[in-house]
Amino acid sequence: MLSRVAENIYWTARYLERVENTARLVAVHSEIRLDRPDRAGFFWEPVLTITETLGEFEARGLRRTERDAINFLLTDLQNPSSLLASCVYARENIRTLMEILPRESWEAVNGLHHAAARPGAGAPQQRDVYLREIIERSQAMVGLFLGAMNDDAGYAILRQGRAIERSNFTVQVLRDALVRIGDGTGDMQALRAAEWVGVLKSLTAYQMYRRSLRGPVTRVGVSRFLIFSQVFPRALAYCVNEAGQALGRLPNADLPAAAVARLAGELDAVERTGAEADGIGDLLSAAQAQLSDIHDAVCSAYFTPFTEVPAVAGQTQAQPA
Amino acid sequence: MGICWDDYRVDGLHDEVILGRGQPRPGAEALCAYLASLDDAVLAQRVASAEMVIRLMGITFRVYGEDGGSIDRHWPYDLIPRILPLPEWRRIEAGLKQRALALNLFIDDVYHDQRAFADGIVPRALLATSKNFRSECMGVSPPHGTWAHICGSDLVRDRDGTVYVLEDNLRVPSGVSYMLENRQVTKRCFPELFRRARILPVDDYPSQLYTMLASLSPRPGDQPQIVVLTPGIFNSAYYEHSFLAQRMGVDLVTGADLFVDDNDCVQMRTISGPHRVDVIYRRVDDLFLDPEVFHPDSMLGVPGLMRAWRTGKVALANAPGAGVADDKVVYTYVPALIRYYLDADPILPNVPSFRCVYPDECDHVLANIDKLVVKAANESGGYGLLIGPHATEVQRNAFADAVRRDPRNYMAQPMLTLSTVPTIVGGSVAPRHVDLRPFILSAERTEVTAGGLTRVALVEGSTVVNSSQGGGSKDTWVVDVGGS
Repeated sequence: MLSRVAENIYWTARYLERVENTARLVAVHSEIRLDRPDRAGFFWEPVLTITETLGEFEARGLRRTERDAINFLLTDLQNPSSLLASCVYARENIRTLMEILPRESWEAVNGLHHAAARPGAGAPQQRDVYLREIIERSQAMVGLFLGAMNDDAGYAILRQGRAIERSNFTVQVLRDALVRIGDGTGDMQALRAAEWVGVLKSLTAYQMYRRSLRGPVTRVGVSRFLIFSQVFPRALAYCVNEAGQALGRLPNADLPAAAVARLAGELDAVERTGAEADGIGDLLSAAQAQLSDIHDAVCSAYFTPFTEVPAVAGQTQAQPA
Repeated sequence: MGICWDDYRVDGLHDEVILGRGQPRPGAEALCAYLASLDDAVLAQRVASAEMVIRLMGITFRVYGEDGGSIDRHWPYDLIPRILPLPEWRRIEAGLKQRALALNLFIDDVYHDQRAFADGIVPRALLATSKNFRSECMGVSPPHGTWAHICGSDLVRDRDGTVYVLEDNLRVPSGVSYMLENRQVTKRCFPELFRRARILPVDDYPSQLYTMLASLSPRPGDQPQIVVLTPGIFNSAYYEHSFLAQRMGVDLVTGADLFVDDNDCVQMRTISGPHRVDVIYRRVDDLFLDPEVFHPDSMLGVPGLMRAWRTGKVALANAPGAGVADDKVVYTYVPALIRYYLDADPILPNVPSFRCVYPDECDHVLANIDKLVVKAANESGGYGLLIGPHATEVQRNAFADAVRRDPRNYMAQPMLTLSTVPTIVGGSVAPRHVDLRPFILSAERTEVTAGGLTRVALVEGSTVVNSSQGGGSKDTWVVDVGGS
């Protein structure tokens, strides 16, 4: 497999995962918004924080209104992390992979891009239908790759990209929630439980959480589930394991595999000793730095093994890892 | 209601589908009856579904703008196919094979003994001024003596029904993927039609291309490593490069994916280290292939590639320098070359041509520039062309000056009235002019696509069929009419 092709597959997987994550995050927050008509402050700030775009949103001088935030998150092509921009990048990558990926994935990404670019989709009365369609189309593409693609090095790279993007997103969601949703007991407890349910839903984790843990949805329960679960596909530990397994199907995997093993070992150690309640935040920032190390190791092992490959103009793949 | 063939006017034209008032040509009966049976709403719905299919299949081509930028456009397709009866097609096919053979013999001759010049068949002066002659290729003997492995020859039919060869594209001819995609779109939109007529399939092309390329490998016996070399995603034909790589199951590479090692072997950079490449179907022009030999600042090529090719470590298709015969002035000598190399009469005629390199013919061209189509030797895609009858006085004068300055670089042909095919225009049908580009594969054996890419000028009366200039395309059916 060509190094350039591997790189484009990796980014395809990341962008497609980002599309689905952004769509679900916005959908869940739009729903929560209905329960808090009178909440003070700028409601969309957490979503901007999680997608790591708050700085750019403010630098652009956009207004702290629902309309500006939704446009910025969904359809603004100047925002390289917007849902539509991610669709555009995924499509541009798949365009270079038409001879590698199943032919239907080119048709599917055209359909996805077409749907994402539909005007007026961010309006409140259309948003839910729009985001559901985006999520369904993204999931269909994941299924297409699973069912119609050789389980070879290319698919291993695809799994790698997806695992890195997915685990990073889970960490972002959880870090934001730990800061934002207060602790303690009292009157606010019911409200806080609802907030934690929202966190689970934005990772499509609510139902699976219930199947794994009985009882109320709590800060500790959600944190442990999203970090340590070995069965939930968006949990950090599961994703790290997935990245390790994908590397097992690739040549020259020593360095990235070592980075994966380091993170897996740390998670394992913390799970066994039990993290202090206030130690979770530190664990998550350390994990995020290590995910970034894994990304770097994958890049140097597979994407630029000989010389600097000139970047293809028009593709901004230097996204935050 | 719907299409009424009685209202379709073919006066003074040769139409490929309709013979005369309301009467279909042989092979087109089922098509015409079927189209006439659709009412307006159904027809409109089929047109819309064809557009949707093209959008979903992502069939695109890139257009370069005047500002230097480019945009991706959906492929323009008209759903009424062009019909060719099988017996006529067999004759055209034989003519194309004959032509490709003679052209390859000529190119091989140019880079070896130059007999055709010594024997006075082609003036030697043409070589001195040829833009596509590559002295770097002198003495090289590619496998099978073949240089132009993939040739796209443009055919036109005049008002009297004669099919002429308009030009031969021997460098990096494009369009074959659109031929294949057009058939897919027609099948998806009009499945019923394929039950009513016996239409020769076209799908075999990628296998034939693969087999031809594999036969060029310098390492026979092994499973050859074949790649398609593309200039990249911004090239107008990128879609086709990717499509062909996909259909052949080979890697699509850019120059940066390849390098030439110390043994003059071409290697590609993979996730498990270098892999040797045997055959490169290159879609990069000669002058960008190797910065060590040609344009030193080319980012599209591979340093050392010419070295690897000259020593036979890698095969290039088409071979560098094949374009020497892809020259609108050399074109005028092809009938003579067929007689010279093959000792046979040309099966397909050239369009009668005047060569400005000869003073008497040049005078004729300058005196009749308002009636002729004047072409520069080495331009393509409808550029470097004067259509005398449609040009302004200023344009004609500018072209006449250019001809006087460099007569060797020009030739002229009478204005043909290209044949037409019914084309959907605003919910009804109207005749639009077409040409045809079949593709000829040459190596150990010679093969021709069943039909080719039909391009159509969508503007009424226009004969400019280039997709970059408002042309569209049609599926092309070679129909087995039985009997013969």
